[in-house]
Formats: sequence, structure tokens, C-alpha cells
Amino acid sequence: MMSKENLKQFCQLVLRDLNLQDQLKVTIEREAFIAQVIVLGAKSGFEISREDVDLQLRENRSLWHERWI
Amino acid sequence: MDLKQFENFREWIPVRCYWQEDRAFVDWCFLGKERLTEPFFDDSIAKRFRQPFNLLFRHQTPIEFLDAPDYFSNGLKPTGFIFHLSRCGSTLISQMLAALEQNVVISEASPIDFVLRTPQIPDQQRVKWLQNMINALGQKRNSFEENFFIKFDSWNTSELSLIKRAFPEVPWIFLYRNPVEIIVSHIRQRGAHMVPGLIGKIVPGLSFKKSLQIPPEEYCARVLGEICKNALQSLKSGEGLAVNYTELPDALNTKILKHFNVSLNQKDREKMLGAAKFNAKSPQMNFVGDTEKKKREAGAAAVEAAEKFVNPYYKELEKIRKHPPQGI
Repeated sequence: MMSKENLKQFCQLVLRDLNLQDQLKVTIEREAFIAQVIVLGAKSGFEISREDVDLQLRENRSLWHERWI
Repeated sequence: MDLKQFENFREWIPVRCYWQEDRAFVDWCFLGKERLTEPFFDDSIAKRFRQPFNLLFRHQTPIEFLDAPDYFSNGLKPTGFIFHLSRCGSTLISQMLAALEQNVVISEASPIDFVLRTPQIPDQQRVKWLQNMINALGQKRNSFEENFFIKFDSWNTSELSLIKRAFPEVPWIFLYRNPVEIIVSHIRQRGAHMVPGLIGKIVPGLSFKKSLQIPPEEYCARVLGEICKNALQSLKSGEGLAVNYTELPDALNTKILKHFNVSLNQKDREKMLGAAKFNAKSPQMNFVGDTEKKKREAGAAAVEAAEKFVNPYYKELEKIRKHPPQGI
């Protein structure tokens, strides 16, 4: 639960921080990207689990498709 | 608004709008310096959403956020607008234009359609939103970008007067085709506007219930007739340029670009013609003309519906194309 809230806060931070964006944009492969989120999240003081990032990616994909339709 | 906040939107693009309670919002996607080269805007965005970064990080702002002309000042001024009757070569034109790096082509973008189909706000507000949205979509991402073309959804001709109000100086074309061939294409696979109720009410005076009761060929023909009627209102007064599918692809180089005040060198013209060799909606396949096949495929219902509901307008379009009224 704490990790999920941490992920949410980290996402907000990334949207405000161009340096973090630049580091994350370049990682295209999914597992490597998740690992990068965990590392950069920890550096920014947010403990984030692999499962929560994976779940958020899945949820966002579903949401995207639903809105698309 | 804090300018630092705007800085975070450099190289992001509005991709979708929606209502949340009583307020319109915009979703943004990071695009970077990538060009939009897919046949449709939404295809380009769907491709970006395969990247995990775009799935996880997405700006969401109220639509009023776009109303910052000083900040969003890097927008290309629209060079030309493309209106069309659907299934008539408009994607071919947009793909030919997109073949050149100096051209930014926005093809049937849902954020534009959202603004145009939001009747619950005053026209003055919609004009402003449209100007802002097109400005945000046309932000220059590469130094070589010069021209900015927008292909609207076919049903957007109903808002032609509002679009002209927002961009009175922008030249536009209306592309059409023999209506029987278009009806055959939609009977094979319906466009969204050919499904009753999906794109709101397109044909005035035709109820949703009645739309479901009439044959699909007739419904398609009535929609096509309405789109033609809307375009003709402006074409008759000498605005815009009428282009028939039969004139493609050469018409892009011979008359459309001239109408858009764009001059290209021979190499670029040839490059665009090269793009016409491929199927516009499936660029991995070669283009194969299907006019004769569609004519053979047309049943009596399609022919009769076209004759009754579209051909009178089609004949007027042809007359205007061959003898443009004063003002062009």
C-alpha cells in the first residue's frame, strides 16, 4: 500500500522534473524501465516495488484503451 | 501560471480530451522530436503508448491550460486544411504530405474533434479552444518543419463556418469521390459516422430510431449528402477548392499545393508521388486502384441511395470543380 502511494508521488515528481524524465524516457524495454523506476524512486526517497510499477502500467494501458473506445 | 510549469510540456503533445464533472481536460503524451507519420493521429499516439514511459507518466491539465499564447508561441501557423467526404483519398493526400520532413500533418486528431463536437459551450469559446488546440498540436519540434496541414474528420464539415471563424486566412480543400464507391466502402467496413448515433446527430431531421430502420445504404447516402451540402455552402461562395478523387495523386502537385501557397522543388514532388505508390492506410502494401471493383460491387440499394441523396450535390461539386466561382 505504501509502495503504491510512493509510486503515485514519484510519478508526480517526475512530471515536474525534466532530469528524471530524461533518464526514464530512454529506457524502452519494460523490465529495464521498471528497474529504472525503482532505482530512481529510491534515490528520490520513494520505496517502490516491482509489482506496483507492473500493475500501474497494466492499469494505465487498460484505462487508455477504455478511453480510446 | 508558473512558467516553470510550462517548461515541463516542451515536446509533449495533447492527445485526448474528456469531461470530468463540468470541466474539459487534456491528456498529454511525450512525443519528443518524433514526427507523426502514421496514417492517422491516433495511430501515431497509440504507437507512443507502447513505450512504458508514456504509459506511466502522463500530464493531465484543464483545457484552459492551452490558453497561454506567449508560452505556446512556437506553433506553426496552419498552411492548409483538408476536408473530405471519407474514403476518397484524403489519407493518400495526408500521407503524401507527411512524406516530406518539412511538413507537419495532423490527421483526424481526436482532440480537435472533441473541441468541434462540444456544443455545450458558446461558439466564441469553441473558437478559442480550437485556435489553442491547433496551436499546441502544431508546436515546432524540429528546425526543418515549415508547413502545417490539418486533415479534419469528414463529419467536421458541419463546423466549417466555426473553423473558418477561427482561421479565416487558412486555405482549404474539399475532397470527394463518386458516392456509390464511398457507400460500397462503408458497407464493407463502416466508418464511425456511418453508425447511427456514434458521432451524434449528423443528419438533421432524421431521428435515431428512423436511422436504425432505414437500409444502411440509405443512411450512408444521407450522411454523405449532408457532408456535401455543408461543404457546398462555402464552395459556392468561391471559398475553398473542390478536388475529385479521380484527380489524385497528381492534383496534389498541380493544384492543391498551389492553393495552399506551397512551392516545392522537383525532388520533393517526386518524393511525394513516391509515397502515393503505397496503400495510404496500410503503407506496407502497394496501392491498387479499386474504382472498377467498387462499381461492380455496388448493389441496387447503393446506386439508388446515392442517386437520391448524394448525386444532386455531387453534380454541384463537379460543376464547381470544373468552373470555380469568382473568388478562388
